[in-house]
Amino acid sequence: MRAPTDLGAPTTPGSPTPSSGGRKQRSGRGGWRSSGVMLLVMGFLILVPAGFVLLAAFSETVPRPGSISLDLTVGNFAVLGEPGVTRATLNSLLIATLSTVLALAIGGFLAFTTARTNIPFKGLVYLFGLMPLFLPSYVGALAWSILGSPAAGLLNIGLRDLGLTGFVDIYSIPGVVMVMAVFYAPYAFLLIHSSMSLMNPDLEDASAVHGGSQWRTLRTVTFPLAMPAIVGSALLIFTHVLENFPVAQVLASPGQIDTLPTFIYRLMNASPSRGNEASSVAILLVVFILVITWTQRVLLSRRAYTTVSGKGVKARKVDLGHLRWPLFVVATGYFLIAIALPILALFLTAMRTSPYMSSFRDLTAPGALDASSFGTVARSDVFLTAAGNSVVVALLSAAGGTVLAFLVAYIVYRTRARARGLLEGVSMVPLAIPAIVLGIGLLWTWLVMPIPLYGTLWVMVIAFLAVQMPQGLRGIAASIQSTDKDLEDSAVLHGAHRARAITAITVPLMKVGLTSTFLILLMLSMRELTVPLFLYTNDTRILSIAIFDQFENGGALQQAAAMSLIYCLIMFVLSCLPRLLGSRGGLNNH
Amino acid sequence: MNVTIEGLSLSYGGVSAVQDLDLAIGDGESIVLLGQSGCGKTSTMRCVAGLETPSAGRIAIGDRAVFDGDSGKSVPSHKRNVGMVFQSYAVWPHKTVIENVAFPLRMKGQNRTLSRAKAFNVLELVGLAHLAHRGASQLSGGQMQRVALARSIAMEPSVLLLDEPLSNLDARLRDDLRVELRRIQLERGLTSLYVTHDQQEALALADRIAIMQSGRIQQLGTPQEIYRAPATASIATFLGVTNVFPVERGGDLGLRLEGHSVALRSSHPVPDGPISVAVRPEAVTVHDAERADELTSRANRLAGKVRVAVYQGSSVRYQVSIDGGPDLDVVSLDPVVLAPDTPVVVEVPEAAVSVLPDDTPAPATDAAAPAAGDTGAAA
Repeated sequence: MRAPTDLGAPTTPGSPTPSSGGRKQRSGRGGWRSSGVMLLVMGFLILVPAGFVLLAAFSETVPRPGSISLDLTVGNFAVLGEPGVTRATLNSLLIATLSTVLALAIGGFLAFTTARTNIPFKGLVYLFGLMPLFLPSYVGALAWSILGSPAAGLLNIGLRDLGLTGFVDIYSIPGVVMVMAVFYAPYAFLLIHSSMSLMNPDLEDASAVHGGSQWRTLRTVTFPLAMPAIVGSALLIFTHVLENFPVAQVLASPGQIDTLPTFIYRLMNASPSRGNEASSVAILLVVFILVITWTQRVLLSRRAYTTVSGKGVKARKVDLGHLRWPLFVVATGYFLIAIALPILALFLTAMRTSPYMSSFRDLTAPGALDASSFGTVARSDVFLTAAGNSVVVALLSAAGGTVLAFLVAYIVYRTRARARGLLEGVSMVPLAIPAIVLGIGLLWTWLVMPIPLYGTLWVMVIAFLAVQMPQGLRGIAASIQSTDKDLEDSAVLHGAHRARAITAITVPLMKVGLTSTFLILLMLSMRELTVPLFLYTNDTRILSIAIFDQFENGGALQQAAAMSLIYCLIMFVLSCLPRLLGSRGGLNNH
Repeated sequence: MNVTIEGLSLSYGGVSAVQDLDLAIGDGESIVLLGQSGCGKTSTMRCVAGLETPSAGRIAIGDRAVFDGDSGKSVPSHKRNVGMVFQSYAVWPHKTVIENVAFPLRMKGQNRTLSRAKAFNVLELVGLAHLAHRGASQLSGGQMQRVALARSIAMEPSVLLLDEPLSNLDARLRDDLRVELRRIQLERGLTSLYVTHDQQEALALADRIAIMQSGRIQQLGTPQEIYRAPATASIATFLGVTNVFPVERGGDLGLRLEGHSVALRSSHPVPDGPISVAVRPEAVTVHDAERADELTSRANRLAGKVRVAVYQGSSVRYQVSIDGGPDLDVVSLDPVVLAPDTPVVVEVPEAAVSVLPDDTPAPATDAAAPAAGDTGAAA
């Protein structure tokens, strides 16, 4: 392998003879050098923690500093025979299935009405579909536990005020399913919406011309064409719900309902800790996720995505007739459940001076409501430390993640380096490992490592780099693939060194993709709860942990509610940044 | 500067794209690599640019070897001083026109003022000086093509590579730019290597044309030579000769078309191996059968019937069904349009009947898959 055009590193710009003769094995575009280094980095970040979980599942003791047990056993898998595991498995599958169906119904309904009908206030309905993304699912779960707990839930208090018996119990499987579905519906909404609005209208016109009625066209052409998006989002939501820990912990555990993630968490937190058995249950969860991911590949690879025409098409619109307003009311109902009620509940809880309330009439008493808790919380040490930690961790991991993802994407899509398929595969591994499992693996890894990072913010950064690698790589990969490679090659031919060509041409052209990937990673780091749950210490709490902690430990409901709202505000501002930056970037082009 | 390519081979994961290719380009010469997609022409060019690493061979620009498979020497692209106009133009959308054109000069270490002044001169040459400060993303296709050309000319390249630079433009613009490209190439004495699948473009721009099929150069010659005497039947087909028919040798009547009872006489020598005859449609004349007395002597005469007549303004294109023979394409300059089903007599001068081997036999060492361009092979 000889390479004239290196990745930039192997030949120095000033050397008169860039390649000395005689060496047959030269690294570079076709070699190992770049891919080898990145494989080591990714293996260290991702495969080592995964490997520790696997090892723990098959050994007597969990990995500890200085002692990694190699006495292999399958005894830990006996735990899988316990009735608790069977119940947790069935609960997990039941919740995931029902939530997926409900989320698809909600997301599909909103997508269809906004993309293809004349529903009133279409822009507003579109926003309804997106908004739950700004609310981390556990904040939603906490808010719904305030709303729907059987004894003191605000909804039940309200019902009793109206003279009815309170009958809402959010600590139940239907409750968990509803909250999961409401918060994962945006995934279905986004995927199905883009599929429906990009569909080539000629395909539907052809049906109409050949005698298909509107309803028949929808049924035989439109929905089948949207099938890849529907199936894709269904599997995506199913895996997310299956591995979701926070919602299940907040809403299912109080009702004595276990899911696989909460079961793993309880085994880990049992005393003495049952880490090896937790690992074997974790393996079971990974197997489920792998099967689903594999199914997704098989199903979707058979489909041709020929519906996207790329031109500025105008999709056909369906006239809803007298159903326009009723359907708008349905969409508004979703907004109430997903956003309005939870936010109101948090506000009310944050502002109530007394933690006890038996009727909404109590609120009319003088001094019953007071906004001072926001100020108190915003000045409190707990909040300031956690907020500071969150910002530092999120910025570092988003920046680091973007750089790593760019390097991997460049090697995978722009070079002929060896093992680049393997590199991409390793980078995508975290998709198949639930956050709770990866969290355990990262904990053991950094307890065992001779590098003293455990207990510092760095270990959080490293954990986030590992967990969010797939999302980062997807964002960058899409951007690098849509940037013509000729543009960079052209700079090299016109005299620029490869490294210079990358920085002067490729990176500026990918500015939008890089920025949005950075912001996505920033958001993900800000809201991640499960992985840091195993890694935090008293000094390294981040916001998500601080909120979760205060709720779980019961006492500080008011502070937690206030903190949640401030936190949501921060998230909202962050999510608006891409649009602001994007529009400024647009102005620069003129 | 002259360019020498010797024994060039390139394969991607076992698939061979270029096989043992030799080509010498003289200083100031314009060579066009002509072939169908997948024939290896773009791969060859990218090897010269240094964007692909050949598996064997030697490439020299001037006296300097830029790639040598034996010693492992390979000069990186940015030090080869090779200009390239990409099919996609690769004009950087985030830079202005003048920044695009000045880029190679800045890379050579020239200062900002000087490189801008030079870039401006080149923009004048391609007629884009008035757009110098436009953002490159606001240009039309033809303008982008000129910017890409200006950018490569500005670097004063040792050799200029052009990868189907006109293929994304509409027909009118393509004709104009073709003439302009040739003018600039001649004026500047640019050594250039041009890749295309369009024979009109090749004929217009080349000093010499190299016809490529399945990773090899099958014929190398001036445009006139190539046009007049394609080396094989498959090259003739590729060059737009629509009447190519496999023939059987022997018999007194001449060359009998395979599967038909019609024969053609040719004034050309007959080569060995499987052969075909090739007749350009414009060399055939068509006459109404009732006025057949006007016929000249030294020609094949065949009776038939008009199947389709397409009026094209300056000419009429016919498809004539020959009695006992195949359909023959004819381009007639006679302004009278014969109606379908008119009985006709076509005249094919013996000199217009080329007799060609079906294909250049592949060398014995070749173990590669069958060539993609085997269109002339007998049916």
